[in-house]
Amino acid sequence: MYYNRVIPCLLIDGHKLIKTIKFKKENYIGDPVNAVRIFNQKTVDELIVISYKLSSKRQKPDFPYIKELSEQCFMPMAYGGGINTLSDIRKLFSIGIEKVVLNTMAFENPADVRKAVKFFGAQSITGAMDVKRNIVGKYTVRINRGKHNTNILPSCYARYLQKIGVGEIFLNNISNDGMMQGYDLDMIKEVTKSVNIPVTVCGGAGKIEDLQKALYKSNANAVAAGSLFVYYGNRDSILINYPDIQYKNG
Amino acid sequence: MSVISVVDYGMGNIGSVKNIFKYLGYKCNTVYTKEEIQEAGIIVLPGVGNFRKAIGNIQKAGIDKALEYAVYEKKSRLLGICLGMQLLFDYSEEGECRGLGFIKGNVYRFNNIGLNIPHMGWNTISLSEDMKEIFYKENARYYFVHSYYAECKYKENIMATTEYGIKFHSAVKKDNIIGVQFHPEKSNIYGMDFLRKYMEMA
Repeated sequence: MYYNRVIPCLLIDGHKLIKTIKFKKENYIGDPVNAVRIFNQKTVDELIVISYKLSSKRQKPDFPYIKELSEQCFMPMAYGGGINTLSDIRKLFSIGIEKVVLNTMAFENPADVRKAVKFFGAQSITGAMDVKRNIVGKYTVRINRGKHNTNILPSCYARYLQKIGVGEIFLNNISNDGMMQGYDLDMIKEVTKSVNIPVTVCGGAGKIEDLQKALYKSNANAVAAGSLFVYYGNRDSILINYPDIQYKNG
Repeated sequence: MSVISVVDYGMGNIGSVKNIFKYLGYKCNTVYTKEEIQEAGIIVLPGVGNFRKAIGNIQKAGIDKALEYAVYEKKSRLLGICLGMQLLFDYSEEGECRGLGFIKGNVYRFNNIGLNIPHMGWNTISLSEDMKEIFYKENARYYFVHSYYAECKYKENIMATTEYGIKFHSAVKKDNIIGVQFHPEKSNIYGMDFLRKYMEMA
């Protein structure tokens, strides 16, 4: 029996675990190493760690620190942030990362992404896309932490990512980030029906039912969330949590 | 205590394989050369990536011959993981080339199964009767990520099957060789259980 994956998505800034709202307001959550250790004990399906400030500052990944995180992790761990060369990718795989999440690099340098796919296999290369809704409800793809609007439709960009060969798409909704009001299922549906590679969705999950809806109503292959797994009850209390496996099989 | 030799032939994630064996308390080395492989008692052949490139690297380093010697002459134990399992077979559609040929059968691409490819995520396995006694673990699930699957020619080599659109051979065996399509090193407590039992096998 195949299980859909439920994936905590952790944002880090240096050695700090952060949770954002709409990519902006930043709340300090705690120590990433400790968080990874707890998620490991809770036998999560997979972890995504994004060092979200590096690419816009043109900084490299902090390899020794990522290694420290991956050594805590006996489940697949994906990493994104500051990756822009093949040697960055090779180095991440050598320190125990399973998948790389490429956002800026996929936009700016498709040729090297193709090479990475050829060399390391599509399954280890995830193409990430950040999308944002405008005032009339139309979504477009944003780059540079949401600051720059490419005016490209999500479904078009998803097809582009598939075409350059990535094995999976990480679809992150800036407008719903940290809102805990549910995923935007219509937008997700548009994307999932335009490609035939797995799509992991992120942005908006506030309760277990939101995860199920994304999996069964909008055809997401995996669901990722930040707030849902680090906040408990009222927003101010931080408690790392993870749903029991029974909840996941619809 | 037996030392585990993890073969590094330039393909993929040996870091996490070593990490889990160490966590379980076993001694674990990385080996690169044919000489080291010929000396090894327990050999782990990991790997992610392209089949053709992998077999090219292996042949270039003379690792294919060293593995043959280790498996057939020295009777060392060999564990293939993911691509390392597929390499044990005769032939793969990926790159249309020959493998190591330890286990009779071929590796095919998932085609028209009506599901996303790669098969990526957690799935269960159905163990063959003889292997159930050793490896069974309640509620076990394992992490898979692959676009190609192996098919044994002979039933006696099938250790476990998994369903993903079609039924494929997710673990295989032959004498002192075992191959698993899933990643025990990334399957948390279930992977640890599997590897511990593997190490305890006589």
